[in-house]
Amino acid sequence: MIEFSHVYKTYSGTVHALKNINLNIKKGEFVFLTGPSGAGKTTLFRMISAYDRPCSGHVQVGNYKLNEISAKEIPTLRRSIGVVYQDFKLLKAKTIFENVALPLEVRGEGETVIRKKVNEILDRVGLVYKKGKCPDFLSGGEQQRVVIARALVHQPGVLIADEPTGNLDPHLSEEIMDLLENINAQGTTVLIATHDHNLVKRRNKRLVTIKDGELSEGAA
Amino acid sequence: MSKYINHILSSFKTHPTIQLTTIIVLTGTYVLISTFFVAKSNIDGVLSSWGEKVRLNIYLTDSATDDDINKIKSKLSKLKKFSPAEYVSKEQAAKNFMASMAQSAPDLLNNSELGNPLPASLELSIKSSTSGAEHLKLLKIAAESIRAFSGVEEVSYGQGWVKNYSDLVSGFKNSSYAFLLLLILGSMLVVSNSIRSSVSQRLEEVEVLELVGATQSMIRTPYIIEGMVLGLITSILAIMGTYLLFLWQQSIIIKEFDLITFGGQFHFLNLMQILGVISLGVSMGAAGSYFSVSKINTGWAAAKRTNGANWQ
Repeated sequence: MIEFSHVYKTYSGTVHALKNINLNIKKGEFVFLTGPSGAGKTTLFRMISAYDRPCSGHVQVGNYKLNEISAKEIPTLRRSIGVVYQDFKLLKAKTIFENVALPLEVRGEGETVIRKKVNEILDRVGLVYKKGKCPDFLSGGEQQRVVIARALVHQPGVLIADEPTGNLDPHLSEEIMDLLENINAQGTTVLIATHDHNLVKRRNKRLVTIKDGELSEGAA
Repeated sequence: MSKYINHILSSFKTHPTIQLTTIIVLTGTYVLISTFFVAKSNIDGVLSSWGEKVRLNIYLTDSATDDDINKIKSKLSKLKKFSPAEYVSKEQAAKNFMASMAQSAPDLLNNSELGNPLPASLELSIKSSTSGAEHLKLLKIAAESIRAFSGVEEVSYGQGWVKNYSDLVSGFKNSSYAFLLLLILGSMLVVSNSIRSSVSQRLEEVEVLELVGATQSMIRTPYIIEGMVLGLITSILAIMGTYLLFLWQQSIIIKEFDLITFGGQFHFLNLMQILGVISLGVSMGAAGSYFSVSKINTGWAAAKRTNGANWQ
């Protein structure tokens, strides 16, 4: 489902964000990615969501080879993935409802379907009563839940979440993790980056660790 | 449609200064273009009225027979861009001459020794629908084709004057097209810069739309429509502004340049020209928007911004 083969990513100067990454995640797997800040977690996630491209090596997500992907295929790939960005990437001028509806709108869904699905997912993350508000009027934890709702609303085949519980209290973190496990149980491949080692231990899932741009299986 | 209207309204709401500046600058540009069309159209009118005075005179020999004249007439009738030939007999030519000289040399009319030295002729003029720049070429071709006919003594069309006139028309045509091109490029640049500012302010929106899988047309269409609406509004404002200028200057120009004596009449743009200016505004708006938004919406807007110039 997700495959990295000898992937390198270098940013300006000689900053090696990723070094010879080899990773294979099967369809329907639930994987945690841990590592210290600046280790390369976000860069790895950016490769998967076609946010960025590798300098060398091969990345394949589903049937899409990201090194060879054409400009026309990029939107199709991105529509099949749900992404929880660490910096949220919510549109401040739009309401919560409109932000969550975006993935459905770009897929050309009708208004009735959009209203039904958006209300359902906002209900699941406990924010349906704030759907008319703009992101700036929500707390950090609430904004994070909006991003999770946006990533899940179109029932993607792959869900990648960069620190999805980073701004949530322990109780809400567990609820969100339950939600993500439910999504995974329905067949969605889930990859989660987190600092929270307790959370990882409690869930007993596959763990990969990244440090200084290098990947290893299990805890570091 | 409502989402495009919302996009435009939100653009005006969030960047009123940029939008207002664009409207003022673009309206100014289209006023220049409209004024240019008004001037060109009126100058064309004056030049055409001058062109209508150009006549091709075919002077016939005294020995020219009716058969010769008929052959020449038949040849002339095939020249589609000329009006039908008018035959002026020797007697008529003398009468015309006498009439024209009646005031300046009245004694001439009573001089019986003078006889009639004037030849009979055929006269024709170029149709008014013909472009002034073509006149010299048409007259040369017609003169060459007639000169060899039996019974023709001389063909005259005021060669020197017509050459100067044709040069003037060609020069005006070329310089006016160059000026128009310059204005069009300028207006495109203004729209492009304005939309680029608008898109730059909304870079985040373009990024998020790209990341959730919006296609290029989904992202670009609202901006292109915004450019078209800007073009439409500003070109209509420009037409109204130019009309006010026209009303204000009309009497002064007619008086100063004495256009009536040339048979010309100072007039504003006709409906087709007005539609042309509006279409130009809308097209420039669409093109300017397309160029600026396509520079940002590459599919990798977020990566480019995050990684800067070293993005690869």
